[in-house]
Amino acid sequence: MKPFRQFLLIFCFLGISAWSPVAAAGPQDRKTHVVTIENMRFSPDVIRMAVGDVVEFRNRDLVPHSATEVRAGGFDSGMISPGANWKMTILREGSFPYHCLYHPEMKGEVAAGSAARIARRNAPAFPEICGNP
Amino acid sequence: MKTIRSLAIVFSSFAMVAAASAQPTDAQIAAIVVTANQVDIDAGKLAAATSTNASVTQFANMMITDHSAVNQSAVALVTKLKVSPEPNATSRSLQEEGDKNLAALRGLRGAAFDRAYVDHEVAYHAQVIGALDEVLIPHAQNAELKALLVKVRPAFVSHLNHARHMQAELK
Repeated sequence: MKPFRQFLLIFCFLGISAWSPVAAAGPQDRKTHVVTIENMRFSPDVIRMAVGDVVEFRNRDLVPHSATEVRAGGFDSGMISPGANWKMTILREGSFPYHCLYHPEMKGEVAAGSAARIARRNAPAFPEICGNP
Repeated sequence: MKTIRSLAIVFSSFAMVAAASAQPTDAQIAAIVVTANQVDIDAGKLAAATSTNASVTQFANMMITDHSAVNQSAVALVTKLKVSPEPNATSRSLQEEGDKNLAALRGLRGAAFDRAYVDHEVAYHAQVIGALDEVLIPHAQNAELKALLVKVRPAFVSHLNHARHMQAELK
């Protein structure tokens, strides 16, 4: 097993009970995608990323926000205070709509992997989330 | 009764803008901002404790969280700028109106409370956005204070839209 996959396996077993193997990108391909929360919006509101990439939410508003997956039991940043950041990694391909728990009209979507469009049409898969990587 | 209350709110809106239109100083603007936020925090606390409607209590808690955060930023900024908030006719008018609103709400229960609280939230946020656009932002002298006022505006617009949506649902 490659070291990076080994790391992901251990990392996710520590934080999440439901984990399944994914075609993780190699460490050299792992990117960080920044979503800025400002003016009561997620910008960009849609992030397309490779499986294993990092999404970092940066709250630049004066009020607290969250990045909370719409599907119950999905990812949830908890409260992101003004000026604070929160990161996560999604380890399975799919499309994961989210919103701000405090301001439900604020919406976004993380689409991971090449099957994101297919996943959007079908029932959403469980994402494997590792907070604050 | 509702018409009289609405007229009173609208009248006080005009009174606020008129009072503030005498080119407030940064110290006066600071007092207006802090008072405006505190008034809505107080109303939110009453609504969160009184209402049994989940949408209303969620909104009320959001008002407490958001306006507390805005006040925290405002106080931090004026402290950094060494500006002491200066009470003035507008901040006093806001406080008086807020006190009257609380007194009126305390006499209500159930759906009547929810409607009155939400109606006031709609009027209040429209009033504050109007004051931001017409008086506070144009007259703020310090660039950081002006930037804070500009930055807070989208949150107030979001609150207004949310309150209007609830107002329609409660009818």
